[in-house]
Amino acid sequence: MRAWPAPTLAVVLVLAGCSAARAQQHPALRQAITAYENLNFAAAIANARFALEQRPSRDDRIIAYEVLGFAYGALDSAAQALDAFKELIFLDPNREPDPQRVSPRITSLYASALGQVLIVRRLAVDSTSFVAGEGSVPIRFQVSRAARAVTRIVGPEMDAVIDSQLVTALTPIEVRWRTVRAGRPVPPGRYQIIVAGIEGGNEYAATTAVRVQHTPVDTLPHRTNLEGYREQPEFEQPPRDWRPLGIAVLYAGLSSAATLALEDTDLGGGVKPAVFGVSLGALLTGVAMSLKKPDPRPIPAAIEFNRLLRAQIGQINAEIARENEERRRKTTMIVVPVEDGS
Amino acid sequence: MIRAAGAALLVSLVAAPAAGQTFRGAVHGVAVRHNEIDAALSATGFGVGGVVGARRDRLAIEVRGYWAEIDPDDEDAASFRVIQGDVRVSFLLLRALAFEVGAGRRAIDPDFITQDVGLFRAGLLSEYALTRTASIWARGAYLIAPQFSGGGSSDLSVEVGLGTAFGFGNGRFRVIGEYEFQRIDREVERREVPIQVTVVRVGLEVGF
Repeated sequence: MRAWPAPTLAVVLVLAGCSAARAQQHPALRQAITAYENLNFAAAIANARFALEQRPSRDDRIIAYEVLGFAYGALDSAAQALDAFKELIFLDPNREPDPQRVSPRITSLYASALGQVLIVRRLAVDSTSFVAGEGSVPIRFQVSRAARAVTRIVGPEMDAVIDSQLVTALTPIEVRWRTVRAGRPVPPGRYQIIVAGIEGGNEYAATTAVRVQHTPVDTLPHRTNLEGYREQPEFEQPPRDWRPLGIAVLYAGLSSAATLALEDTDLGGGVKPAVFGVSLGALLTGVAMSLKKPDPRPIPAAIEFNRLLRAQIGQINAEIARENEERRRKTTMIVVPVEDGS
Repeated sequence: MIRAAGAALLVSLVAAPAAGQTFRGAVHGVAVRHNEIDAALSATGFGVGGVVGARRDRLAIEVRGYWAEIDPDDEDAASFRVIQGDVRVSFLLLRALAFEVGAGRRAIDPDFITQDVGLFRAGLLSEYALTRTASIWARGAYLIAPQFSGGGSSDLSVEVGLGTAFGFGNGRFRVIGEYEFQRIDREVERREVPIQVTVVRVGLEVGF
């Protein structure tokens, strides 16, 4: 028996890993894997074919065809290997040998098989959210051969083709679904995405599903300040001065002098006590107001600055209010992939 | 005519309160020194009075009055009562200087113990805000054509006053103290019969 290069042995390890992941394997399939691991390809083929005759599960059929493809490839039986890989591709279009670990001969045979069938593979939708009408859901896929790819969405109150285009073999394609119908967001619910590859009379469709939810669009908070600008103190504490006393002395002095000058002393006294009493009161008021902590003094420039700042913030908040009003009329679409069967 | 103008002015101040408009009122105790003709007829008394005023922008009006019971220094002379009312309208010319006009009347009860006096006045008022809650003012006016119940006339009649007020907190309530000195050189048939009145007021003012 021929000795196989290291990459082939790596394939064995891949199969072993697969088998370990699948605990429900048919006994004949386990024997096939063991035989393949022992490089007994004829026994591996025989056991795999026997397993396929036993109506195995889909996962077991995938493993069986993979063992067959790899074993026929190892035996240079290209036609049988191609047949096995075609079956494998139909069963699991996204499964393919790792070119870093598998013999180039086998990966070449797998690529040949892929080129001979029409399938849609790697159909995927990522979770996303966006404002309805302002974003879209990316739908990615590949078609194994040059064909027309038709993307269709089926869901609540909807069954529509959203895209149809000619694509080349194995080119990554991205179609965007805007989730808007007749200018309005599609209703929430479960939607099935069907991508069909059509080539002449051949047609293959792959499906996946997403769940669409609606939530209100977040509104913007109102501003209480403007970045980089702070309100200035509108009053300042002036230094203490003796101006009140000076003014009181001036007023009291002039008034007293005028009164005493005008007084007709021949008419009897009584004026001076009044003049001196009130003047003394005025002087005491002046002293008290001079010793008192001065009243805060307004700062016109700061008052004007704050007025302009508040006006600016008010203008921004008015714009935010308008924006929020607009946002309240909008809907955020949340799109999450779900199991196709769920 | 004068009454109508005064009423119109008062209505214009009160009817439409606006920014820059203030009202104030005060009650006060009054001490009055009344001198007439010579020292023997001097008299002193006490009473109560009040004042209300309003200011709008540069214009202000003030109405004040008092009532006092007066006892002559001469114990043999009869006591009498004085009721005086004054109205003043001022227009601010400069920051602390206003032109002031007004009228006043002093009535004596019983009649003819001394002179009832009616007068007009024109003068200057200077009020200075020492702080937000304290102020000082002085006024001087020429008394125009005083009229007397006993007849006569006056060539020189003037009044001088000084006042101060200070408040606490927001300054709504203030303590006020002021004096007014009035000299009227009355003549009757070329005989000098001067009148000199000094009024001291101390009271509490409320403004809003």
